[in-house]
Amino acid sequence: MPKSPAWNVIGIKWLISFMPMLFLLSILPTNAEAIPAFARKYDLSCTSCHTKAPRLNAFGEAFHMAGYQIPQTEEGELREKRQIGRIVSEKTFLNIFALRATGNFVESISGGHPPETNLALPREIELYFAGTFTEDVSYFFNLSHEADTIEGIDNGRFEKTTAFGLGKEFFLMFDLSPSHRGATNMHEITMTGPMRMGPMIMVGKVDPSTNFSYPTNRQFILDQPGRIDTNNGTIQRFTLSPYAFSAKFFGLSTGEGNTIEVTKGVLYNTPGDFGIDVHAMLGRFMLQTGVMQGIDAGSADINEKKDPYVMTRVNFGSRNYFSGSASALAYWGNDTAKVGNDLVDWFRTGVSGNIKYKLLDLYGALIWDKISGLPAATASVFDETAFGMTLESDFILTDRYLLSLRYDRMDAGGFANQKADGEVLTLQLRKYFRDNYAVYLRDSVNIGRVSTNPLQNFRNLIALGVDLDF
Amino acid sequence: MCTLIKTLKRISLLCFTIVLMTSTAIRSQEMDHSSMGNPTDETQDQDTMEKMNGNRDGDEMAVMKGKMIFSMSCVYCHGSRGEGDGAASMFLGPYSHPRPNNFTSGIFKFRSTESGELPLLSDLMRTIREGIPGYMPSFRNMGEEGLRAVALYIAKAFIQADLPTTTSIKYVKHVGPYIYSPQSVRRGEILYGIMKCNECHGADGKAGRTDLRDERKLMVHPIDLTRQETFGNGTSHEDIYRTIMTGLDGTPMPGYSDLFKGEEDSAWDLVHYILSLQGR
Repeated sequence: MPKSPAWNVIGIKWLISFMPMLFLLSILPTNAEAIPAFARKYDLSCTSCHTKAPRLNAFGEAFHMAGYQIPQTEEGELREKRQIGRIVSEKTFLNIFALRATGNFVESISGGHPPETNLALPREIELYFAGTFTEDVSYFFNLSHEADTIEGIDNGRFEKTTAFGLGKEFFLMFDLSPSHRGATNMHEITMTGPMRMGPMIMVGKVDPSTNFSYPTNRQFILDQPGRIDTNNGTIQRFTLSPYAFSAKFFGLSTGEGNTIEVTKGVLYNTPGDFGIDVHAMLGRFMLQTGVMQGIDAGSADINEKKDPYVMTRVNFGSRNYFSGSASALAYWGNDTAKVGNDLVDWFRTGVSGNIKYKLLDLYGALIWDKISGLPAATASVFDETAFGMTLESDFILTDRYLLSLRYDRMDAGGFANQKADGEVLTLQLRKYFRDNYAVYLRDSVNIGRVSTNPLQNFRNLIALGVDLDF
Repeated sequence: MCTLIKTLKRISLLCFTIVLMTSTAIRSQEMDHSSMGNPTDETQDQDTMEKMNGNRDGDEMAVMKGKMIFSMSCVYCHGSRGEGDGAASMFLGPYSHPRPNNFTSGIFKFRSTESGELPLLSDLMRTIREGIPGYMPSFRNMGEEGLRAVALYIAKAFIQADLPTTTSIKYVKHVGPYIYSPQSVRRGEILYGIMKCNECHGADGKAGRTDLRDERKLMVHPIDLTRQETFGNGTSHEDIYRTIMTGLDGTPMPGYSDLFKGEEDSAWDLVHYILSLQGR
């Protein structure tokens, strides 16, 4: 079949895009080695804590829970020198610093209006600084450069931004647990009762879902930025993200009046917002509570009301290569969003679960949202309930290949004349050239209805991209 | 739509309740089975403990502490039964060596005892203290008391046998005539060939064989002797000497203590040659 000139252009673009990558791949060694910050600091491979980065395995979760410290040890960095294993470690910058670059090289979106083929550099580059100030105070700072991010502005409009600055999360974590680590008195140890960790307090810009059975920020299948009409700020296609965590309502805006993208992670499942989080483990149970300032409330939080939440989680399994957890959450968005000019309450409840068996990792979340306090004029035309579900399965096929399958479903709420439901199935294959360097090929298929609604405005998305951690 | 949401909500809440109940049941069952380790015969265990270190009351307390530390730090990889089947274990070596050790197998890589023997308590403590580069973190900051407690718990709960208190291998100290010299390196190079170290580690020490398997039939990559960061049993002169003498049980690396019997000082020549490969 003769190729159209358009196809030829696309083909050349693909080739040009592939060449630097192929060059990189040809010169990089293919053996697994520890690279990023914690791996450097502790002289461990990435998979000591991760199934594959960024998903945590059971040990990684315990490390995270203990405030970025090996459980049952204390190792504040105020000491001049620390000896970890056989390594006498000076305080080096590389031990607290990590870099992650992610994004598509090539993407092709078809079946919508208009179809797109883009060549891109990785859209997101993040710098992390994380570690311990003292035995009981940990820190996490994230600087990020994000390109093509869709941000809501006023009157239902959006704009595409490229920003560099403090990223999704930055916080301090305080360990308030009684001192029962390290070389404490044996008698005290036996008297401490059930195994416990914490309470830990996180203060700053936090992701509350970090301890949920399905954390928002730890995704193998990256968000695919949406598309807007830059002439008038209308949105043509929403960002493709895990639907369970997303806002789900058409026609909502923040307290400051900025439009909330339907697929933006919000409330408990925000990738990061200002708040205070407290969590503790008692035996196999985790209890978490906290308050958030509100969706993108920032310093100009107009309603001055805070959003409280609670979450409980139970862990199970500690042998036969099996582990899992189940979580349930309740979040009250206290006057946290607007319908028109009226502040409304936003309730979120949800459950999530995770099962890991050998090299299979299954996880998912079901989230229900409800808006209350709607103004009478809009109550009849606004669907006040919404539901989102995201289920994912990852399987490590070989030392070098990871196969992921994700199902997203959204039964949207919001204004009846705007809303539409979404259903997407994504298959992705990652090839790890090293534990910290992967390229992926993904295909997301809209298995629901295709229309011009921004949630449904595509049939197929194919992307080739990179996930690099240093 | 509403019906679907309600149905899913009910199903998920039901599942969550079931999981909660099941995990609580499993937990209580595990507590029953392992309230003090995993003893099959309490009398035998008490005897073992007494023989091991004398101070019975103190050791019982230490074992309790060890159990607590183990369940918060070690269980993720070694599993609650010490069989190396913890939830995180498979990700360390999905398709190749190493995996976390199965303590109940009686096979220990890192020992100062003869190949095939159990380790000393101090061997277990050393491994926990130092960790294994790339795979197991160091627990040095746990303190000697904590390290001993965990080692005692492993011995009691999983190995369930008397640990040897001494080793029959003669360790010659790295002093006097056995310090580094060019002549010693040359002798070590000859030994390297005679002992056929090159068959696995390569003539240049950079390894290369890919057909080796461990006791679990997992692929083993012989370490690259030119890169000290790959030395699982330690990088000091004494660590390398010990590894040569004892081997790494469960892997194709044999112990050479028999070969050096009566001439233990000669092993330092081989150590010096290996160090020279690293430019040390």
